[in-house]
Parts: sequence; structure tokens; C-alpha cells
Amino acid sequence: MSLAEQSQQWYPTSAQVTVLEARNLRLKGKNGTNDAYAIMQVAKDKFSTSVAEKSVAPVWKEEATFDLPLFHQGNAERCTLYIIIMHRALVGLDKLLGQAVINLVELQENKARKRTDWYKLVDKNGKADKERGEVLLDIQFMRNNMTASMFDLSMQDKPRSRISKLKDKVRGKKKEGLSDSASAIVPSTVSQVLTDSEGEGEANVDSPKSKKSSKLKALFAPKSNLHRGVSQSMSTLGTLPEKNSPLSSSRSSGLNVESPEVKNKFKFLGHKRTGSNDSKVSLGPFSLLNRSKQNIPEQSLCINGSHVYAEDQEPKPTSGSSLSLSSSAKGSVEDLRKYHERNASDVSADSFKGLSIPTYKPEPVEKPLPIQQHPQEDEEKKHKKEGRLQEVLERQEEQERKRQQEREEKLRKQEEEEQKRRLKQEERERQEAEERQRKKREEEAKKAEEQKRQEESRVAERLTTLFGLGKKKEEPSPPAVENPKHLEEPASLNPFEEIPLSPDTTNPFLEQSPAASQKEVRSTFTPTPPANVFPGRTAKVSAVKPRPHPVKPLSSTESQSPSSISVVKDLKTTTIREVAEKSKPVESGPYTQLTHGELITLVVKQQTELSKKDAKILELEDYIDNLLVRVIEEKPSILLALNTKA
Amino acid sequence: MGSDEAYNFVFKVVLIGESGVGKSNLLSRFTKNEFNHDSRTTIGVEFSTRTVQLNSLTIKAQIWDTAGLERYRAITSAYYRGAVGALLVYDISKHLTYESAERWLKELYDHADPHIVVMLVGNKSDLASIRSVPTEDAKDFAEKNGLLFMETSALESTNVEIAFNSVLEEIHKKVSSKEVTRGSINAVSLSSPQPAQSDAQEEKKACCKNL
Repeated sequence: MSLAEQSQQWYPTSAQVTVLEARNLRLKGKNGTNDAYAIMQVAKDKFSTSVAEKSVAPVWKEEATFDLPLFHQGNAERCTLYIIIMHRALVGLDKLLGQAVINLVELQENKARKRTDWYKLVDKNGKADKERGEVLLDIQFMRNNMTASMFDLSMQDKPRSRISKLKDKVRGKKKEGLSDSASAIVPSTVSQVLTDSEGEGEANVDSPKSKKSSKLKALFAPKSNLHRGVSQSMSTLGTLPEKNSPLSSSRSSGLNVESPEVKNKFKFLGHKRTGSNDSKVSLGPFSLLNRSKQNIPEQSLCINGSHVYAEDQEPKPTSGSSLSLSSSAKGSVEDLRKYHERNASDVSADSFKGLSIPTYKPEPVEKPLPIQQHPQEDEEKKHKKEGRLQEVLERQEEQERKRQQEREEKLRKQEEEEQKRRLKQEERERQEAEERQRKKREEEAKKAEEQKRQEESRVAERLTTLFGLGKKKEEPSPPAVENPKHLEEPASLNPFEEIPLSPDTTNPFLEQSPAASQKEVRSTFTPTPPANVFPGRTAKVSAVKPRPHPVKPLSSTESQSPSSISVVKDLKTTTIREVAEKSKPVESGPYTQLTHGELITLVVKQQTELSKKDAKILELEDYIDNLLVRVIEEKPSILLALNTKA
Repeated sequence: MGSDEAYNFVFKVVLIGESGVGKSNLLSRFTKNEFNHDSRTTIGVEFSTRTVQLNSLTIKAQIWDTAGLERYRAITSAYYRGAVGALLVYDISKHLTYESAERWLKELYDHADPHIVVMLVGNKSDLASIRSVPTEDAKDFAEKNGLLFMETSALESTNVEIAFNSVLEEIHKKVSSKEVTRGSINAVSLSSPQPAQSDAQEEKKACCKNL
């Protein structure tokens, strides 16, 4: 590319690669299945997915982000993505099932490409020797010149930040406005306009508090729709942590884009969101949070700015059905999502490249939003949320009007962000507590499920996935766990995603410098209506935890696609509850929700009570004995058995 | 003399043994010819009586039953006091109940008259299919300790009458042979009607002598 071209062109600094699934693989394992996993490699950076055991068409949905320094054709080695599909052999070396070799430079320049596409597998030499099947990849290019910590600052001052904001908005919209998938894919030109508006909107946000509240509300709504939000959030999260703000946006757009009108609506939402939250820095953490808790997605999206959202909100129905969701539902949902995502991703990607931020026309977003919100609200906080949503919408409109003038207010926003951070921390703590309870519940639920064999198989799968999730959550960032309700925190602290990825992501807070937050403040509330959030979406997001080095998956359970996990969590929560309810009759209902520690305490307490009663019994026995002795001595005939006749 | 109204002797016999060996059912089988499949653990102390004819004598058996005592209780000494006979019951299907016989025997001799007549009773002989206490072992143990021995089944009413009658007869032998000092072994007088004998216990003793 010529210098001029380069100057105009958008250069990705990183690529977020999601290995979704593979098909038509050669079968090297027993019983005609593979224990397949995928290695994602660019230059020396390697990530491995989990092992999809006994699979014919393995589904991973795991993602990794690669830095792309010196991203140009002359640096082919550094810009070639290898997706290596391996079969884990019980004995000996793992077997190569095939690999996909992708020139990222060409791919990035091919704006007509689908973000999510099938790539043919070839042999180890890069030649097509025989039919090896193909792998479905989602490749997003992201622009992050700075490390995560620096990212926010850079974004604030630069127009790109707006873009990122837009992206965030879009994402959020997509996530929240599930039904509006069509709109999500906004042409780059449009996006630009939107970006401007967003920046203004943020500035305009007269009272950060109000915005926050609106954001919060929006967040709550999505959170309430745990299932929906979670899945989407999960997917985005994976991308967010490192540098992928653009990517996330693209995803979100793809998901939601269905109709222009919807798009417009999303745009509005996005603006609001942008105003409230700092997108870049926070995004990673939020995304993580969302995954973990499932509720946070929208807000987190805003905060992070770019990546935050996982578009896929889990469909309500899935949550209700609970069990089915985990596996089958995901697949179907994924497909749907994929379609949406592809479209959306393309659009978003283009917009990023062009640096133009997809401008959302300030069309009457309100109508769509309320609709979307309603389903969520119903699930979580039916009444309150609606009111909040309406308010949010109104606020957003106002913000858009004032955006241009109120850039100055960014500073205020920063302050707000700080407050938000505080709130977030609190929320995180709450979430942690909730997670603990959830875990307990889950465990109990598992037991109950075991008892109920009908549901056992499904439940067991879910539970396993959940456990894995739960563990992950705990380990990565206890603080990150936020309650869906409190999603307000724009700057997502969620260490989850970032931890695995790269040092950049490590400090979400740093990245979310106040300035950045101001610009990005957009409260990406667009609560994706649960209805929109189709099962398919959840599948898309499949959160992939980037695994820095391990070629082989650490553990099968962990390896399972995060998205699925997140979904599973949502499902689990619902399922667990259901199970618990069902199980109650079987098991002692009151104890189903107690933790192990609580149960122990209870047992100890009862033991002491028993010992006291025993002592009393002894006393009574002694007393009776004494009475009997006297009776025996005085008048033994009293003791003559009632039925006996002397 | 009417069996119910008149008698020459009143012998107090106690049932001892581990909980669950069937003491109460032995008692109800002997005194009421009843068997309760769902009988609960005995609480407290009670006795039943049955008047039997031994030879020409009418003997009123006053059989005391209580829970298998696992600890010393104030009632223990009162329970054994005045007993001239004892049935030490174990469950032939539960060896532990047999192993504890020695302990019961010790307690018995600690609190009762040293000349008390004791029969080792292996109950639940209907459960021979799951027998864990060989008859010979128990018989040997009984011989070594100077005990009578019998295997019974309160359920099937096997040997219950024989067991009690054997004990009563043996008691009578001892009484009549004067092996037993009167002071130590008493025929307990009941407040219940004693038409045949208006005598007090002391008189009864006399009766014993006379008889």
C-alpha cells in the first residue's frame, strides 16, 4: 500500500480471532469422533482452545487476540494466522487434522469479506492434499495503538475514540436490541455521523448522574435478562480485554442489524450509552463481568467503549427451558447469530477500517428500545425497568441534541465515571456474593437433578459447564463479578478477559482514564430486548478465553466455549432454580440454598441441641426410675401390665 | 384352688438381655399368648403374671420386664430385688446380644440373690437361617455358668412355655429343697386377691416351708 493509502487507511493493531467450530474433519479418534482442539497462532503467539471431546463437528467458540505490529504485506510472517486443528491423542503425539492459513493483511484489505467465514483446512505444509474439512472463524481487526492502559487516553482525544464509542453503542444496541439485528450493521458512513453525535451526546449529558441512572437502568434491564445478555456479553468480553474495541462493535452491529429503523434506534441507544460510559478501558472488564454474571453486558459495553458487548444476549426462552439451552440451543442460536454477525461484522469492520464511525441517525429510537427493554424487564425488574428505559430514551435524545456543545462536560463525565467505578466495585462485591450463592444453589440443584434422572443428563452437562464457569469467575476476578442489576459501572474492571490475554488489558482502570470515559461516556444502554436476543446470538458471542501459551487446552471443562458457559450460567441459574424448586420436595427444601458452611453450622447447632435433649432425657429417666423404685417398693401391683390379669 | 385366685407361691422372675432380643414378646407370649410384630422398645418397668400348675402346686409367676438396661439406673437394684428367677435372653441371629450375656450375668449377680435361678434363652429360633450363635456354644456357656438353657421362639411360640415352666420348677426345687435361704429368696406377695392365702409374705414363706 502506498503511504497515502496507508495514511488514509485504518490499520488494525490486533486481530481478534474466534474459533467457532469445524466440520467435515477427518476422524482420528475412536468411534469416529475426535477429541479436537484448535490452536490459533500468529507468529509466536499461540492460543489453544479447549478440547471438544468425542466430537465430529467440534464447537469451541473460543477466541484469542493477536497483536499485529507492522501490519503490512511485507511482514507476512507476522501477519499470517494459522488455525491448526488437532486431535488430542491419548498416547503419543496429537494428530494434525488440518490447518487453515490466513493472510491477515489480505483479509483485512478485503472489505467484502465476511467477518465470520469458513476456512478450508489444508495439510501441515499449507497444501490441500485431501479433504480435511473446514473451520468457521470469526476474525475481527481492531485498532489499539496503545496498550490497554494507554488506550483510554488516546481514545479520548482522538476522533477514533468516537468511533469506538459508536462501536460500543452499536454493540450495546445489538446486544440489548436483540430484535434489531438488521440495524446493527450500520454502514461506515452512517457510523461516522453517529460518532460525532455520540461524542457530543456524551458531552451533552447534562447531568452525568442522570446519564448514569439511565445507563444503570439500561444495564439493569439487560442484566435482568441474564440469559440473553450473558451470552452476548460473553462473546464480546473475550474480544474486549485486549485491544479490540472496534471488533466488539462490529460484532454487535452484525447481530442486531436487521432493519434500518432498528439501526437508527440502536444508534440512539448507543449515543446514550456512549455518553455514560468510557468505552475502551472498561470494556474488557465489563465484558468479563458480563460473562461471569451475565447481566452486565450492556453497560459494560458502553464502558469499554469498543469491545464491551457481546452481542449475543441469550434468548429468554433458553433461560426458561434452561436445560436445552446449553447445547442444542447454542447451536441453533449460534447459527442465527452467525448470520447476523457476519453481516454486522462486515459492516462494523468496514467502518473501523475507514475510521468512520457508524453514525446512528437519531431516529426515534425510543420505540424500538422500549419494546426491547420490555422483555428484559419482564424477566428481571418488569415495572421499574420500563420506566427507566423510557427515561433513558428521553435522556438520550436530549443528549444527542446537546452533544456538540457539551464536549466540555467530558470532565464531568470523568468524575461520574469515578463514581461509577465505586459503584462498580460495590456491585462487584455484591455480584461475588451472589455468585457464591449461585454456586451453592447450583450444587444443591445438581444434587436435586441427580435425583431426577429425567433431567439429569441435561442438567449434569449444564452443571459441569457452570462449575467450570464458576471457578473461572472466582479465580480471575472476584471483584469483577458484578450484579447484572448494577451494571452501571462503565469502566469495567473485569479482569477476567484481560487476564489471559495480554498485559495491555491487565489494567482496565488505567485504561479508562477519566478523559476517555468522558468521551465514551455514552451509556450504551440499548438494552437489547430479550425477544431480539435469539438463542442464536448467544452462540455467537461464545466467550473465548484467550490462552496465551498453552498449546493444549488446560482442561476440557474450561476449554468449553466461554460463550456456551455464560449461556449455561444463565441457563443454570434458571435451571438451578427450577431444579431447586423441583427438588425441594425431594430434599429438604429449606436447606437447598444453604452453603456448605451454613449446613455445617446447622448440623453443629442441631447436635448441641440434641445433646441437650439427651441430657434432659437422662434426667427424666432418672426421675422415672426413682419413681419406679418407689412404686416397686411401695406398691408393685401398679406396674402390673394393663392387659394382664393376675 | 383356682388358678387365678389361689396359689401357693409367687415367684418373681425377671427378664434381662439386650434391647431387641424379644423379652417383651416372650413375656406376652407366655402370659397372654400374644405376639406383637410391631412392638416398640420397652419403656419403664412392668410385669405380668401367670398362674401355672406345677404338680399339685399353684404357682403364680410374676414376670418383670423392662428395657434392656444399658446403664446403671436407680431402678436396677429395685428391678432385681426379690427375683428368684431370671431369663437371660439373647437373639440367636445377633451374636452381639449373646456376647453381652456375660455382662448381664454379672449385673444379675450383683443385684439379685446369688441363688437365683437363671436360664439362658436363645430367642428367635425361628430365624435359624440367619443364626449366628451356635446352639452348642450357648449350651456350653450355660453349663459353665450353671444356667439353664433353652432356645425359644416367641414368634412361633416354640419352647416359651417350657422355658418359663422350667425356670419356675427349678425355683420351686430350690425353695423346697431349702437350698435357698428364706431371707434371700422371697415369694413376692401381690396386693392382688389372694383368696387362697390371706397370709403375708412371711406366711408365704411359711407356706413354702410347709409345702
